Amino acid sequence: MPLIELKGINNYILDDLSLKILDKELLVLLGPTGSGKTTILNVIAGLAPYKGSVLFDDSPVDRVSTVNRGVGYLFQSLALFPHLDVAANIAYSLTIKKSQQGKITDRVEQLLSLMRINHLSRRYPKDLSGGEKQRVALARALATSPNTLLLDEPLASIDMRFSKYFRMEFQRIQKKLGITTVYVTHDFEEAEEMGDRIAVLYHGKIQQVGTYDEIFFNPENRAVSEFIGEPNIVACSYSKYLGDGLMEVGIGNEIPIVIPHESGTVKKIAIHPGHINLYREKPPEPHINMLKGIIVDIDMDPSVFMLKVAVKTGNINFQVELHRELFEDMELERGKEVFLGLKLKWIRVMNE
Amino acid sequence: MNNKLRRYRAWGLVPIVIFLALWEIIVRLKLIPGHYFFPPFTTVMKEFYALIINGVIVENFFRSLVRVLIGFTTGSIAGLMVGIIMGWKDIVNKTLHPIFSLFYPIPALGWLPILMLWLGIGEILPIAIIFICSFFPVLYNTVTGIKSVKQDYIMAAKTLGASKRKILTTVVLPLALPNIFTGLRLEAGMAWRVIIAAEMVAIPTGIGALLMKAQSLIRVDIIIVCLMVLSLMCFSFERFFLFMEHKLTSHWK
Amino acid sequence: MKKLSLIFSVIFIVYCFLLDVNGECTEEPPIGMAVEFVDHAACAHIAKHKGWFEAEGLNISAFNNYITGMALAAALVRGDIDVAYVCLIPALSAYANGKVPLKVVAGTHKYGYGLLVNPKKIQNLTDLESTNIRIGCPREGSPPDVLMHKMIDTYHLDEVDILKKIVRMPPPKILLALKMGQIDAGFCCEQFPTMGEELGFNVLLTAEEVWPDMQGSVLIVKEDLIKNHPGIVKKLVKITERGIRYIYEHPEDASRIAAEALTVAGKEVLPLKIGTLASGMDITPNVILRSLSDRMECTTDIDPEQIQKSIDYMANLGYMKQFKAEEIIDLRWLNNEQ
Repeated sequence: MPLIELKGINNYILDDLSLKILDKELLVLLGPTGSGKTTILNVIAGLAPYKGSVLFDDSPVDRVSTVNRGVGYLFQSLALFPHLDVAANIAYSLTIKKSQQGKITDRVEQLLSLMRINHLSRRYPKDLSGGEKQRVALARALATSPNTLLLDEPLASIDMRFSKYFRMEFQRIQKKLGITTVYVTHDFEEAEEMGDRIAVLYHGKIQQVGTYDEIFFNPENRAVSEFIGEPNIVACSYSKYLGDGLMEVGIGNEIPIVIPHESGTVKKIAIHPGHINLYREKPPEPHINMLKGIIVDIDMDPSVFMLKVAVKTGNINFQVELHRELFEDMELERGKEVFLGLKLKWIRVMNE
Repeated sequence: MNNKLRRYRAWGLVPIVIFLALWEIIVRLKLIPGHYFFPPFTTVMKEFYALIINGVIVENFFRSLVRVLIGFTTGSIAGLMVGIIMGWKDIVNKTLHPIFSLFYPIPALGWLPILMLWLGIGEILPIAIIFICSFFPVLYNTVTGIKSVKQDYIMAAKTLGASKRKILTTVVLPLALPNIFTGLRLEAGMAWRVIIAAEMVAIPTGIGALLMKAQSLIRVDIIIVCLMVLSLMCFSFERFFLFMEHKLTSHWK
Repeated sequence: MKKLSLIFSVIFIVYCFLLDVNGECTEEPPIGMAVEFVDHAACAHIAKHKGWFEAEGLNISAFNNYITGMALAAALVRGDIDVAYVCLIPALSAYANGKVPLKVVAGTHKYGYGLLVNPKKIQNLTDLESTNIRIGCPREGSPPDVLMHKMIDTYHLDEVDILKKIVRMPPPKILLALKMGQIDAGFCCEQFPTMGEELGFNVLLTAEEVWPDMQGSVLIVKEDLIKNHPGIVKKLVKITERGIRYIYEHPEDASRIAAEALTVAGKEVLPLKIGTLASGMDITPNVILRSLSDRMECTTDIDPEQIQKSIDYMANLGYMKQFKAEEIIDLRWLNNEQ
């Protein structure tokens, strides 16, 4: 499986972009709409014009046409051929290559079984659900056993129930086949679940490449930080296992916080401003992960306000997100004392 | 389900039967002022039968039919070929579109006077008119059909290893078929309307010519027979292409 | 009240005056009249010019030119016209096929049709069978068309061959087409053959040569008119006789009147382009004089046997079903029976 390298890619969207995709890895391209994610896929596939160089295993493929680059591509729209049934769609690339009919049939059967869609072989795309179409499109992309697989927001038009299933299934297939994969999404949680590494893209430039933890806990610049939601990142002074999958860590001046974690030494924890509850009065028991603080700053947006709360004992500031209506109902202002509740399940953990 | 469909279709015949019955009754009872020039339905059908037996309608019908088939087939094929090239190659489209758009608005019958001078009054004249009548709409429907194929399908085909020619023949043309059939279907009926008009003006044989003969002899029954034949042929041709379109595209459209 | 009566009386008197400038109030109903746009209806044009209709107390509400038998038949049925000076053959079609209730009450002329040829290409009838010859002829069911079939039968020409060469067009267009070389011969009705001679073409065949005693045009009236106003029919027959007498007694004046009337008529009925071109070919009194005297025999006489022959021949051609001539003829006013 190749190592794919993009060197100094320039075109109407990408700005001097360089990127390495490792052999057999699943690299997630993450970024807002218009950042150039799909364009990178198209450059790798040879579908978009560019200046610069694309290499597969150190060999430049700039003069190699799409037809001969050997990539499998799952388009965002899926692009299943409406006039061909499922089996014919999957067999398309093999039919084009004029493979023997017997081999085509076997391969199609194999892929139908892999995707668990044997019962759909004679159906047409118009009669398939979103999830079924997704699986057919993937089977089609895998038909010629490509060296590289490109997926453009594969879950964009899938309902949540199926998307979870697809993520699991896809990871299983990708690991089983060991295909180098580039996966595009704008959803950070999806990126966290899917990718070996994540490349954050903004305005046609790579902002940061790394594992989920590296990006989440060490955003290199404001653009990355803003995109991943500007989490509150706090260093931990100690960590102690409590049992039942829970651990106690100390933050600030050893303020105890309970986190869902089992082993290792926790270096940092992080929590998104939207996953912190804010109270005017001390709420009723239990007071797990409850902190007292004072509002030191208020950033007013049209709909969502960002409050900076200084925790009294600990020298820690938390950014807390609050909807405008709630803010007005609670009659909050600078200097007011408030209570913060850190939602246990949303606390993210960075081990040493 | 089949019984239901049959009953549903049978209902469609009811207005026709009512219309024919009214026609017969109103004329027989002389209930309208123009009844002199409006023979009853049964009289028209008797004349229809007589014209079939004596071969007059059959001969004229086949003359018209051959002209329509030759003109329509050649015009449609030419329109299809040029349409494919224009739809597929942008540079060809940009080159040819301005000149075709000058000719397209000219109604087919508008060409009759000049073609009469260039080609004379022979079999080639009506065929040429039908050719023109069929060429432009099929051309433009083909171009539209090809250009309306989503880029995603073309890109997908590329990534699946298809060459440009294969993309055209295995993806673009099949997906453009609905538009192409629309053009063929519309022009199939129009070809009959045009040939009748051309034969009325310039050609001595065919259904249109028979219609003019009937007019000069004040044979309204024959005029109505000719109109019935025209209506039947327009309907049949349009239906044929509807059937073909359905057969080739309904399973996936 | 007095003022009102006075006003109404004045209006009534003015109305009566306007109805008849001679001070007489006409009692006859209005009559729509149709005439052919050729010199076959010369007697009608003369009668109109001389005011003979008004003199007999006839209220001619419309004096229209018609170019096709179908249009004329439709006008008769609609009631736009009650009386027509028209060729016999389209009248027979209107009666037999269009079921128009009409009667032939008098004749206007015999013959009046001919075959006009380009002498450079056609010198005799067998030349019509040469290749690359095109022959103009009005539509099926017209007198020139019937004459064409009669010619084929009489001279044993190849019918299939001749019919292949026929290009259907109305008589004025035949003359134009000959002039422009689009056709080499044409069957048409007077006055066009005579006009064609002025342009250097030859009249190769006349109706008289092919069909002795062929009835040309006739005066037809609607049956309703006969039933409700037989007096009017009698007057019309008398005026027709008078018109034909005038042609014999004052041929130059008759020709002048007809030529003037037909020049106007041509502009009325012909499509603009043909009219414009046709007006370049003058309908002169000299042409009308020769046409009336050499190519037609103007007479009100009708031979029922000849009418029957015409019916039989048209039935033979398949143009209509056969019927008895007596059904369409009513000659009591001609024979002075009333």
